[in-house]
Order: sequence, then C-alpha cells, then structure tokens
Amino acid sequence: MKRKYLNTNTKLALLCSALFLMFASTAFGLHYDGKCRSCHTPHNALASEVPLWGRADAVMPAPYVQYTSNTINATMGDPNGISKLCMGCHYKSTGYGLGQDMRNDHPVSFTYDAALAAADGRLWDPETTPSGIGGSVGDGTIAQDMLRGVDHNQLECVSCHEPHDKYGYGRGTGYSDDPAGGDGLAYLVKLNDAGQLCKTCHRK
Amino acid sequence: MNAIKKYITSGLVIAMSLIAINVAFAADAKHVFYPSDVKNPRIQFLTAINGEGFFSNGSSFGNRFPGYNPDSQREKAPFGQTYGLASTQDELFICDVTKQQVMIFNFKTSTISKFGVNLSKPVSIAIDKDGTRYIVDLGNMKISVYDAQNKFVRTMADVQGWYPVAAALLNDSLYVVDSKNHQVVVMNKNSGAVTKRIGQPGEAIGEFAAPTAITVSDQGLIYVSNTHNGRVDVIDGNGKFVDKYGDSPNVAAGSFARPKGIALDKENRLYVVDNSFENVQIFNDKKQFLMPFGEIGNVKAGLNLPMTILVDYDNAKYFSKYVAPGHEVEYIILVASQTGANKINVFGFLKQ
Repeated sequence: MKRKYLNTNTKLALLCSALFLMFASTAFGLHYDGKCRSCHTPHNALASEVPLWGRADAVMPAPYVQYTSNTINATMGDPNGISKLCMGCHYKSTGYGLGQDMRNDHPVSFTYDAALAAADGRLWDPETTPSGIGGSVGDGTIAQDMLRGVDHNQLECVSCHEPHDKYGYGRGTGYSDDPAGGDGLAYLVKLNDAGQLCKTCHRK
Repeated sequence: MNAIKKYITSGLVIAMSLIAINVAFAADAKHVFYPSDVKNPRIQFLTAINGEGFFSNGSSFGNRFPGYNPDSQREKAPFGQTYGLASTQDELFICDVTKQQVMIFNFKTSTISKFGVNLSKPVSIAIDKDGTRYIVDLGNMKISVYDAQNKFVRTMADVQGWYPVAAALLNDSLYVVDSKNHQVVVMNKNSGAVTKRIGQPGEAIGEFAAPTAITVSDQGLIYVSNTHNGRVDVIDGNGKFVDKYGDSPNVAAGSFARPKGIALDKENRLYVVDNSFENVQIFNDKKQFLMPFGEIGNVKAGLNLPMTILVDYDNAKYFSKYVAPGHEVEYIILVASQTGANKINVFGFLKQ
C-alpha cells in the first residue's frame, strides 16, 4: 500500500503558502517598498560588536531588544509595545504621517474591556460582541480578533490595520500623497463603508 | 495620657514617612553613567527638558521637601511634540510640531522666546553662521527662512514635490533630506534654486530608503541617516559616496534597525539614534563601535521612540549643576523622543 505523506489539507496549505509568497511582494509593495525588513528586522545574522568603551567582561553587546513594553505608566495616546513599531515611521515628523494632527487620530495602547464599555455606555462589550471580521480570522469576539496583549484587552494600531494587507482592502479610498492629507484608513481588517469598522466597537 | 501617646505615635509615623520619602528621592537622585561598570564613565545623564517650566522650577509643590529631586517636578507648560534641535552660543532651538513653533531657550537670561509664522509641522532647523534660521516645515512642504532676529525672510521649496524632513548647511548650499523621493535635495541657500539631487530609491550604494536625518562634519563631509536601509551613509558635497556605517537592518549591537537622528562631535565621533532599539550608539572616527546609551521606558534617561539628537558644546556650562561630583562635561548631547515622559533628555560627555 502506498503511504500517504501529505493529506489534502496539508497540500492545500502548502499551495496557499507558495501562492502567498509569490504574491507577497506585490501585496507588501503597497506598504513601503516590499521590504519585510522595514518592520521584521533580521536577528543575529551578524555578530554583535563588542563596545570599545566599558569593561570587557561586563559589556552589553547582546542583540538589542526592540520595542519592549516597558512604558509601564503609559497614558492614553502614548503608543506602547506593538504600536511603537508603526509609530517609528507613521508620525508627524515623517512624511508617512497619520493625518495632520495626532489629536484627531484614534488613541492606541489603552485597555478596552467590559469595564470600559460599561463606563462609557457607547461602546460594545468587546468580550461578548463579535468582531465580524470573518475570513481566516474566524468569527471571534472583538477581544479575540482585534485586541492585543496577553489579556487580549489592548487596542493597538493593528486592531484595525493589517499591515500585510491580508484582507486586500489596500490603501483605502482616502489615501492621499499629501502628508498633511489622507485619512490613513489603509490596510483595514474589514471594510469601513458606512463606518462599519468604527461601529464594530462604537454604538453610534 | 492616651491622647498624648496618640499624638506622639502620629508624630513618629509622619517623621518616618518623611524619612521614607527622603530615602526614595535620594535613591532617585543616583547618577546614571555610561558605561555603568567602569571607574571613568564617558557619558552621564544630566536632566530632562520637558517644557517651559525648565527655568522656573515649574513645580506646583516648590522645593520645600528635603532631598527633593528637581527631576520629579511636574511640568506646568509641557512641550507638545519636540523634534528638530539646534544650538548657538547661549541658545537652544527646539521645534515643536504640535505647537507649530520654534522655541528658543536662552540659558544666559533664563528666558524662552518663540517664533514662526504659519508653520505647520516644523520638524527640523539648521542655523547658518550668520544666524539665519532654516526651518524645515514638513506640513507646508517648504523651508521657511528667518533671519538672526527671527524675522521671516522667505520660503523655499522643491517644485517637484517632496517630504522635507531635515536639513544641513555646507558653504552656499542647503542639503535637504526628502523622504518622499528618497534623496537629498541640494538648494542654493540664498535663492532656493535646486542645484542637485543626490541619490535615488533603493538599497545599493548611493541609494536611500526613507532617509530621515543629515549632519555635516567640519571636514565638509555629509552624513545621511539612511533609515530603512539600516545604515548611515557618508557622501561628499557633490554627492559622491565616501563611506557607510552599518550595512543592513539588524538587531546586533553596532548595527541599526531604524537609524534616525545623527550628530557628530569635534572628534568626528558619530552618534546614531535608533528609533527601534530606543538607544543611541556611538562610533569613533575609525567607525569602531564605542558604546550604546539610553534606557527604555519612562525612567531616568528613558528614550521613547527617540527621533533627533544634537551635540552642543556652546551651552554645556549651563548644565554643570547636574554633573556628578568629580566629573566635568565637555559637551552635552540632547535627544528628543516622540512620546513618553521625557521629551528631551540631556546627557553630558565627560572629560577624561
């Protein structure tokens, strides 16, 4: 009897991976210039240099840690953890801004849980409300599908934006080449016609 | 009798609390050195400038507690978002993007003045020998020129369209980093006429990917922070490639993941801010890695998405009160962060 090495599902997964890699460069081409390394910095490909200054037996030339969440006292609007990766480029002093004024942008890096929803009164409870994203993400709650952090209760840039454009919504209709313009609604996790992305969390 | 006992007890509790506070502040007052493990460190964290209260001890509590640490003061008029930094004798120039102005901190008179008309996003400033100020206004996509008396002179722009993010002066030219077209635009500093465009998008030598910062050495070489290529390129005044620091983005020490602000001291030591590592790395003129410095988070010397850097010899003397006993500062290094509690961290380069 012939031994079956790969079942149909595995084959399908491999095919999808191959197709993904083939088209990946096109998709990522929309986000900067197709360089994964803009965000996914290679690790340990090079030996760390030993600093000349400092005692040789106590120097710290280990690979650096990127964007740890050490800003314990982060207040609303101070990007934390994963959102810092976005803020490194999408900020006021770069051409790749987030609209003219960050005060008009949505806050990130804050706790969005049932307590906040109850206190606010105009937010859906993220722990019970479906995200409606669907697709490969599945049909989980807002907390499961969109919120980050170990407790799945942190709203970050990637709650609404998927930088690899996995869902294929591209740069969004509001994109403008003008750093002062554009609505920055790019690479969304779901369509925002009639504001349904906003309405995922906001009750009117 | 019992009442008296109670009073004595509460008195003791209060006294002990004060001692505890004192000890806490004393611990906070510990100096931060780099390297931290040697007898003769090279750099000391001095203080943070977080707003207009810097000169006025802007604390709502005053300095009435023993062992009170000025670093813990609450800033009454905090900066918005500070980016471009420049200095002249007695004066520090700070671009505030949110407040859409340039602030001048005069250390001699302990006063602050502001200038800038219709600025949208002043992200960088270059000051000529005669005091002319070139403000890079990314929002308006223009260079706004002001004279030494802070009077508006004219604007300059590249008609082809650009994202001007930083500028440096060399002879009669203003070298402007354009992060849209991934190039350096050379303009006549008086007429604004574009005389040359250096580089093109890409990874190869002579190519840039989202460059963000520029500085010029005393020898007339131009250093460009080639951010997404993970290196700092050195070119001559004509745009010819001379050398590079780093190779491609990497997290190894001595490499860069997202190099942003750069600065040189008089010995041509290169300071490179890394927005991703949230530190600053120093290299000597032979490109040897000297050391990193800066902490992560809202702590003393903490850098939160650091962006720009300035080496300032002129105003180091005004920071001597922060220098640890037994040390002297040769120059100060100012690092501006995008977010976090410390807007501009001031470090001192210690005399050996």
